[in-house]
Amino acid sequence: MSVEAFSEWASMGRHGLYVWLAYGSSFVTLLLLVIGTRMAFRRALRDIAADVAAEQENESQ
Amino acid sequence: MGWITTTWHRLGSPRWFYGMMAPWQTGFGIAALVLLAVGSVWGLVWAPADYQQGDSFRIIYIHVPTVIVAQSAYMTLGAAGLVLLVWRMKMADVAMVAIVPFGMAMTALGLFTGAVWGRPTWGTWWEWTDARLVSTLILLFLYFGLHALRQAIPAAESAARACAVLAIAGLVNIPIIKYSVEWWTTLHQGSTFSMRRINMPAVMYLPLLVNVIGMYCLFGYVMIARMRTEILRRERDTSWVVELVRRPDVR
Repeated sequence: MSVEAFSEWASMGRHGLYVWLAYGSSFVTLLLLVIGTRMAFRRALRDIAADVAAEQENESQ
Repeated sequence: MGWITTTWHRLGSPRWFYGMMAPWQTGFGIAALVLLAVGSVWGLVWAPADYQQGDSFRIIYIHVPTVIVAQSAYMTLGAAGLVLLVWRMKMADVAMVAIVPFGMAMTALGLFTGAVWGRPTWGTWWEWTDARLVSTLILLFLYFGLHALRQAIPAAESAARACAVLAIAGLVNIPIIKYSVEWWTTLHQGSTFSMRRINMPAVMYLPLLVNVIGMYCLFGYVMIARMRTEILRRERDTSWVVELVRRPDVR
């Protein structure tokens, strides 16, 4: 694909701003949603693991 | 028919759900990634431009799946509320907690991409007299309300019941969104898909279909992952969760 053909495609017939704004905002939103979901899951596991470890330490003393 | 009753009872068990749904979470996650990537590239590169709207039409491939799944998420929320009130199934409340952030994000994104599409198509970002737009904004406020209500009530059981009642009451808004383009004069175009016909040629609707299915897979992934997170938090003192976090491979 030539540079001209690419920039022709990327310009979306004068509507490039709108098309890329819609797709860009969607990509960022979905990415944040998935990252947030994964982080919440891992945080829950980590928090509980820390609690369990702390309890074990208390018991052994 | 026995398997239906068995599955229903098992669904009520947090431990069973946590274990059984792990592969589904992964499957939905991978399917969502693949389908949304394929559908979006297809819509942006290979699908033809609309003869009236030109290339701004391509926003449909991300806007329509987003708003469809935002409404489906709300219907799931209402159904979960009903299950909670009728059968007092605690897992229904876990589902409600998991759905709200997803629905909120999807509705907000749907409103935003709709505004971005409206600007080149109708010449305006927003129109207060348009029933489709305003009823979708109400959907966003319902999600905000459900989030705020849970934060406002400290007793978990009361919060669950209050959220269930609000979720069910809010279901009234769903047919209003759906039929708003038929009941009132609106800038918004009619439905793209209906049970009887598809108002588009195949080269245009196939990528849309791929993205709709992809977005439902994303809904499945986020809902299962957040339900499993909520289960861990609620069951943290039970022996099976303590055993689970002790295993080195889950840390």
